[in-house]
Amino acid sequence: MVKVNSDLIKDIKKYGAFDVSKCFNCGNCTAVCPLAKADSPFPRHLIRRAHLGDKQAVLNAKGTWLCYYCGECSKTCPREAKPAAFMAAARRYATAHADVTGITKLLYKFPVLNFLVMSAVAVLFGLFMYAQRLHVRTGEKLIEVFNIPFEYIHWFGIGVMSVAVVTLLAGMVIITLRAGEIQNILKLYKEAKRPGRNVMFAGEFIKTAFMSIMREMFAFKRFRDCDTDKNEIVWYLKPWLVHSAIAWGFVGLFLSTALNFLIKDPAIRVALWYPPRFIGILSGVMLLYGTSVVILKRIAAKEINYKDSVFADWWLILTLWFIGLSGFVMTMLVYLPEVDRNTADLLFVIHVAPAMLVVVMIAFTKLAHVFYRMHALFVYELMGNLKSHITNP
Amino acid sequence: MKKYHTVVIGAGIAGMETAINLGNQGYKVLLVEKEASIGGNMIALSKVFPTLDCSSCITTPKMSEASHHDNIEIMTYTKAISVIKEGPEFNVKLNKKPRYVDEKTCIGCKKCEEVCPVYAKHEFERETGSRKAICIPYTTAIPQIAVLDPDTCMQCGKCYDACPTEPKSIVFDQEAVELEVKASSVVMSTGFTLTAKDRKKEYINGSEKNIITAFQMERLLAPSGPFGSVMRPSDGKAPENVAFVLCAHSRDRSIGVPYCSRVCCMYSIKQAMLLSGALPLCDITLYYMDIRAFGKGYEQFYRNAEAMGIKFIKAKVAKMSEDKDGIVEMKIEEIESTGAPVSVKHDLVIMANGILPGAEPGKMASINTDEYGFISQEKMKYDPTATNIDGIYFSGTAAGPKDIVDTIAEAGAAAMKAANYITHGAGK
Repeated sequence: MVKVNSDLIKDIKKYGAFDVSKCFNCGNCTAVCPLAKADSPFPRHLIRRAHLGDKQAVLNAKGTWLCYYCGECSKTCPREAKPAAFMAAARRYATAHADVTGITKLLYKFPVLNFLVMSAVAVLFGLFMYAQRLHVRTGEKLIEVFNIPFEYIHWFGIGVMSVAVVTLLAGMVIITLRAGEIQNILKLYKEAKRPGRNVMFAGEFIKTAFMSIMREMFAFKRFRDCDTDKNEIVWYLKPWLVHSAIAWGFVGLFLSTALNFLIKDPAIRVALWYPPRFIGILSGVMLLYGTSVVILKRIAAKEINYKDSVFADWWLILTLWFIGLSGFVMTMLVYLPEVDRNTADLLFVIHVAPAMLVVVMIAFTKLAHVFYRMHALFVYELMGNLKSHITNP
Repeated sequence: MKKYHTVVIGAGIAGMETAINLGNQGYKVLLVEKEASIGGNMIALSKVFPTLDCSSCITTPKMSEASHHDNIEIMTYTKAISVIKEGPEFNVKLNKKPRYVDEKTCIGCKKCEEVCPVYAKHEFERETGSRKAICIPYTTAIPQIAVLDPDTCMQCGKCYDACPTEPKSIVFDQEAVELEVKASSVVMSTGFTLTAKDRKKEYINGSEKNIITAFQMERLLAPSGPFGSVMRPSDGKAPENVAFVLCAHSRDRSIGVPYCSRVCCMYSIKQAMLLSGALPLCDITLYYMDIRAFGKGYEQFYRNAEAMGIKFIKAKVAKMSEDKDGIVEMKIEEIESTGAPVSVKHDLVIMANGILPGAEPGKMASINTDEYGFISQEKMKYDPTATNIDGIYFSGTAAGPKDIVDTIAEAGAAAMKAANYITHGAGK
């Protein structure tokens, strides 16, 4: 039994622009959705739950993670209640409520605060990095202007990073508890293992689920199912393609940066086919392409899935675009005639500071969805596999 | 310039009833109709809810009465262009379209129709059947005068040769005639039209054949219909599993028709009932958002349909597609049970199309209309048939979707108001 709580919908409204008070529960959105399934009906089902104030139902729903915002429901909604925007808001809500520190909630609810925090952290990062570079190069101690020993800053940074990682892990645990009801998994597993039943091993279950996640992540299978405007959008502008360009561009850049530091000095001239460099350039192009397309589409706000952008959307996409661009400029500089050392340091800082920002704040920004969505879908898949295996062994 | 007491624009059931009411009181009425026959939409219906009376058994006598009335003059194939108020009276500009047939000499013998070699889609049968390029619009049309359709006619001249009148009634070079009349009052009864079949692309997105409109179903069910039985358009098979999709083009902001078309629930239930009579073995399902049984006896009518074994499922149909065998697959959410999205299959689907204004009464008479083009009911509570201009009244669906009961009542009211204006209003 759930008590009716009319405040829940008001709270979710702070996470996005929608007007589900117009909804008359016709179910068009669920029926038109290419991803809603019998075991995870959405959006109407969730809209109704949100209206009633059933917070757990909204947080536990698989639907929030399944939705890839094709916008078909909003396009065909007879009431123009924007169910897709509701789903996005519910997803932000679920993400924010997986964060034990409560920082994500604040950042989503107060865009100005979000902007100030992000800018402050980025500037601080930049300043400290520049100070460190300056110190290494000239022996000049910029940091001492603030009278803080360098170690403190170093350890503070590590502390912040740990908080982020712990938060992220805690978030994933929370999502597991929500999604899978861990005690149920255990019970189901015991049931499945009863003698006389020909069951797969736990490893098999996990493998099956893992494979499906790989499908999801490598091939964006669901996102492609979500491609409803089959003939209206040219292939190179399809949302799933653009999104995977950004995702793989980001992963590639991360990889190439790591390789750069492991294998060689990052700023030396090597042949373009040299793996770290090659991956870096390819990923950079992908990231820049993807982010540019999304930025332009979000500015135009013509297609329904690029309307109703919130600050968190803008922040992430613009930051990624900036990282891609500055990284590209830096790589070009390596192949150009010698530039002055100080300029090079400045450029390095301008590139690395936002990159560090994105990584450190990963648990508190839109980027957390990478982990949360993957993880949630994995747990749901696992649960589903277990259940189906027990019911039809 | 000819002068009338009242010009009634539109000769559907609303206009005819208004004209007859005025004519019976001794007022001279001009009844203007843009189609080739009077009768409007109602004459094309099979039966009417909730009494299941035969529609043409009600409409034909009215048509006949209007056309034989001493005080009523009928002008068919004539469009009202403008209604301009001058002092208390009105100047009405009309445009008589060419029929290519002389109305004075044509005797309605149908010889031209017999010899005509061209078959075209039959407008009256809502494109379920076919007609000749020259024909009398339909069996009970009034007046019984042939019309030549210049778009499909290939000018072979066979009809001219076959015409028995002297001089020949077929006039290939007839032209449109502009005329102007004076009237003491005007009644707008411009009626409605249904939304286009492909208004919602999620339903019709190409050449789907077995998804038909409500009006097409009316014709299939009508005793005078094209086939005399219900068969699905793709292959002529008697359907075994039929779906009615309510609110197909109504209450849907995404296609620009946010209002309720009011009669669709009832006419769909009626069609379902008639269908279960015509094809007793057929499974019939109605998909509805809410059943709006708004009139006297309508709720009972709905309950009767349920008791007859017609299935009612609460769901808004989101998408339809037709496979190569003509089976229509529809996507719905099972709102009342699991909330799961499911696909359902039917071999014939009838959409309950929405109601749109049949003409542009606002432009015609410069009266206020709402954003959809229906006449505004300025004094809804105390003068429900008045427009914002004294002397111009309306009746029927020109002011919004309504059923025949309300239309007839309004026609009486509008006639009374017009009569009042003629005798006491008009500046007195």
